[in-house]
Amino acid sequence: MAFYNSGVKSNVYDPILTLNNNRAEWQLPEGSLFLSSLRLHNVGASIGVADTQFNKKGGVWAYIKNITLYDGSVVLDQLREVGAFMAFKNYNKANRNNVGQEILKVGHAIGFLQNGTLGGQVAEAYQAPEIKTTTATTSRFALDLRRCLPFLKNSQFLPSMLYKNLRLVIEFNTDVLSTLHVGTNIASLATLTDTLLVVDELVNESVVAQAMSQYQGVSFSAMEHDAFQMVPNAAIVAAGGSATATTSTILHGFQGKFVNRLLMFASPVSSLASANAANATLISSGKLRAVANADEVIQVRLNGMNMFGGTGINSTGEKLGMLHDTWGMCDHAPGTELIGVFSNLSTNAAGLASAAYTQDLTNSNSYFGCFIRDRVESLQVDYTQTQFIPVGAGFNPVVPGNGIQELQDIVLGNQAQEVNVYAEVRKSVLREGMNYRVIYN
Amino acid sequence: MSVRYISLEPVNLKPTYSEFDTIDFDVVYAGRKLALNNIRFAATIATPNATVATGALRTDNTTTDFFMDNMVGAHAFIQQISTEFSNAGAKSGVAESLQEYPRYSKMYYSASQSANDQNSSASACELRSPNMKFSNVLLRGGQTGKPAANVYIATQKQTLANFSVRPRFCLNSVSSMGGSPMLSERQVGRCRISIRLARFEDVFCGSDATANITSYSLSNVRLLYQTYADDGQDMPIVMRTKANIKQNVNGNAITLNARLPIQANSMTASFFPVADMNSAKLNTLACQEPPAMSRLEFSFNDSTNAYIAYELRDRNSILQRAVQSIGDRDMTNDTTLANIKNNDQYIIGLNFGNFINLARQKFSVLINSGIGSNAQNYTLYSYFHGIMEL
Repeated sequence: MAFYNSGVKSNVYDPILTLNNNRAEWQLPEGSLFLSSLRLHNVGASIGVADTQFNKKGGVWAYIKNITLYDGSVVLDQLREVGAFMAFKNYNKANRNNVGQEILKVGHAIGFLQNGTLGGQVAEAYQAPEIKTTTATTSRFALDLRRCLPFLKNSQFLPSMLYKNLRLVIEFNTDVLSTLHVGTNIASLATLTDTLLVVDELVNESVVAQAMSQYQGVSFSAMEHDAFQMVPNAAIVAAGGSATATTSTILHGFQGKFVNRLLMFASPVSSLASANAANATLISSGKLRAVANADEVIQVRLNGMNMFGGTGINSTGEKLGMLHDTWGMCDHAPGTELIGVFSNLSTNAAGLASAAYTQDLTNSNSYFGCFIRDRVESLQVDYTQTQFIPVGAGFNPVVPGNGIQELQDIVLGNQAQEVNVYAEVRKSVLREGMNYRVIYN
Repeated sequence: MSVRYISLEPVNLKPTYSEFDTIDFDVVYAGRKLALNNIRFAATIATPNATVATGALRTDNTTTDFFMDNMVGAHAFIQQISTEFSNAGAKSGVAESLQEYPRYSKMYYSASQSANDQNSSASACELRSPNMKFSNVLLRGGQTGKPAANVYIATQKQTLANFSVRPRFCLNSVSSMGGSPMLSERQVGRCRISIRLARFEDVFCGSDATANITSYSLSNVRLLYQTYADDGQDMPIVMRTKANIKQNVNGNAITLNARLPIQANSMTASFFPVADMNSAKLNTLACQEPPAMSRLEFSFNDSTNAYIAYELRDRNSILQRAVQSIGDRDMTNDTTLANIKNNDQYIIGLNFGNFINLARQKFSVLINSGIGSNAQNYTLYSYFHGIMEL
């Protein structure tokens, strides 16, 4: 574009505040015309014990709880529960893109290659970069903020002559069941203090004047979050127990707003269902996992009317097809949308479902996505599932340790789950002279 | 603008459908608009898994030599797909009747995707997978627990394999200048989509497809699509259509001619030995390379009635022309020579450069090869890619 040869300089800003494992904040100066391509460099942490990785689905995004772009005290854009959503966005890419560079930039492990020497297993392409014990050797990651803040993605410019007190605030997430692959190491995690915010600025005065005269504000789809819980069935305590229940919830977070796309997925809550008690490694990425439940049926009631025929979406193929048609290509290892896959040799490297597949991927990608494309007056979700504890030698939901896939199954019986709901909500910042309004429209 | 998700049952509703059955769907969208490019055919594979808990693929893992073509997946169930518009609209009659659809899918996905590309949501919901072995795993459906002595316990939770495929037929190959393409009843009247299910031997392969499992059935069969409120505006729509022809190649030097009711701008074809066509053990969707292919010549009259002849002698040139002939609008799936080679498939074809009315003039293919010298005849499956404007 023309302004690239009209004088663009890259500014590098240190944080004005870094509180270890708590929050970091950057400020941008008033009176400049920035480009919206904000990115963070040197994001990460060091760790006091053994080298470990960030969550295999979320990468370094799992270390972020909330991210907010303020002008003074006005929220321009915000993403809450960053780890869970960005784990989806990491998955929401073509395999060739993830294998190419995203693993190194973000530190997740989504990206698969055929392992020719082991009978065609689906294997993780590369090991994600590790968190090391010193700040000099630890892995440092780079985050493009346009991926998580649609306000930036939908605008070319970020004028601080209009937004006079721009602040970027990151709140860190130190959850033992979602941040690190080995969750118990979280106690010795230390935030890097030299994380940099890189912002490009237009310096050619005539181009700046022209751009500002044409700047009318931004229309964008803010990503908003709501959630509800599916409670464990207290009657399902012994092997052989099974019961089907429907959780009906009215989501108040989107009322009165125009919603485009919806994303919904159930994740474990308890440590028993999220981490291997023997070695503290996360089961299928712990709380960032999107669980397929047994006999699952999803119905969405929009403004009093069922969106789906019959009882609702009740097959894994249809659910995955809808996700693809709504959100686009996802990097999906086959079978990971199911409650599990049949493999006779789950602990043997020659088995089709390799140990890495079984430990990190089994029952981890059961996302639900659909279009709403309407103003929400009321939005109700009916989520039906069967909780069960199978009969079988060695299966014990309380003291796991008898085979890898059985650990993956614990979440299915007598365990609470949190259902995360993200919606694209139509929002605008309208310029009024040298002031502006933020509205839902 | 609000969306309605439709899950349509067949007109000829039955509990299950098996090989050679025809399934008719009368697409309902009166007073609304049909969203194109997102029409899916969905079903549950009821057998060979006899019930949720029993069956040849269910409790025991010894039936491991039983596969679907991993590049085709559940597209293999659709032997023929036809689209017909009623007389009520401006366009009427059969818009497309595509036979031997699984082979077209095989050629398209082999040219456009690598094995690693099959790690995708587009593939998984269609039971396409990175390798043949994994197709066996997916056919077993969902399973919890861990097997002991190769056998699962029946009371552990299981689900039947199911799929939701987006067939590459005319209503899913649409482009429009006006954003997401949508179709109103004013343009075509009512719409009927008919699907004929493929025979067992063309869907499955492996030694267990002859010994232990000999049939399949589909249940919960539906057509999935979305409709939107009709805004009264009809956008011009261009659909990619396909027509195919199947011919026998039984000599070292043979010329095949075709006349088809289609305006085509490219043609793609593949071979399979006649003697192996009834084999359940072999993958009958494989695009095999005939012996000693030495010369290929395509000839036709172009839109200005000038005689055009392309002569190809080099293997790479033949494959490169073929790959160019089958690429289409889906930019996420670039057709490449590397893909077709790495997937170990062989196709021939040509992009004509402009549209030719094959109803009025003849398209000829001259093939010089070793076919016939060893008494092995081949079938040539040719697919012509055209357009239809609405």
